[in-house]
Amino acid sequence: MPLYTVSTKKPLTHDVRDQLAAGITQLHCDATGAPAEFVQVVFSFNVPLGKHKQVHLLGSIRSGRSSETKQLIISRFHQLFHTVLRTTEDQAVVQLMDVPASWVIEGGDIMPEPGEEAEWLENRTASRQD
Amino acid sequence: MVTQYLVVCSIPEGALSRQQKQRLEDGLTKVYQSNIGTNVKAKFLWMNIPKGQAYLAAAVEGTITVLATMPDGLATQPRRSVLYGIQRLWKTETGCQDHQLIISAADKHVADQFLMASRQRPAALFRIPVMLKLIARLLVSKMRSGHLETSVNL
Repeated sequence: MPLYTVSTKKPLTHDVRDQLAAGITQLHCDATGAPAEFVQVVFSFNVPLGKHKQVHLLGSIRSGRSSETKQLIISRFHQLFHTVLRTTEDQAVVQLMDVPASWVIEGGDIMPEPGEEAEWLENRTASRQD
Repeated sequence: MVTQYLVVCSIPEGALSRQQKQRLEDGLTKVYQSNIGTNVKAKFLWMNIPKGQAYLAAAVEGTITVLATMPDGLATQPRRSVLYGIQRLWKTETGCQDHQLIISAADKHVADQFLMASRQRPAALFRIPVMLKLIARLLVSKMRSGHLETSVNL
């Protein structure tokens, strides 16, 4: 968590997938302070998007992010798609959905609330070393 | 009356045998029944992710994602028990590592919103043909393997 699904009409090359996965991960982490190891990106191809749409991004993120943070994420994703896929803003759809952290296990433990990642990661590292 | 809850398992394509899937389906049904009630049944959808289409921390990774729908408003304790029960089962049956496994136990209405958003990705004109294609795929997979399977690629 977050889980981002990138849907396009045609398959993307490995290079483009790498760029988008790296960009989405970086932008999410920069905007939220979450560690990169939480960010999952899946690509879905052959999706018959709307006539003028080139890419659709559906993200499920942990609840608790402010609307400003979400707007920042959405705006940066549009910029990323423009840079990598040459899309205009109306050719890309970005949708975010909130999921409570306590509903998710990742990395072996129930996920921390936003802002509590450092302690969670520290405890996890300590338990692995025990 | 039996209430059905959908479980969507996204896995790397070819990662699990038919027998492993069956054991996971049986085990997950027991996890549901132990924690939610004996009058519930889990309905499984297997979503195959072709190689190179899933990334974790910006690196290609064969991650497994399980979305298990729960009764709306389920209390914290049974939800945690379901999460850890699914985790134990999956690790025992598949030998996967913690970092490869992401499990959500989401209220039904939230899972439905997510699945609806996913179904509405295609343009309105294509939604019915896409749905028919999906149903055909599921029927064929059920006949061939005994499981409802499709791909993240439409």
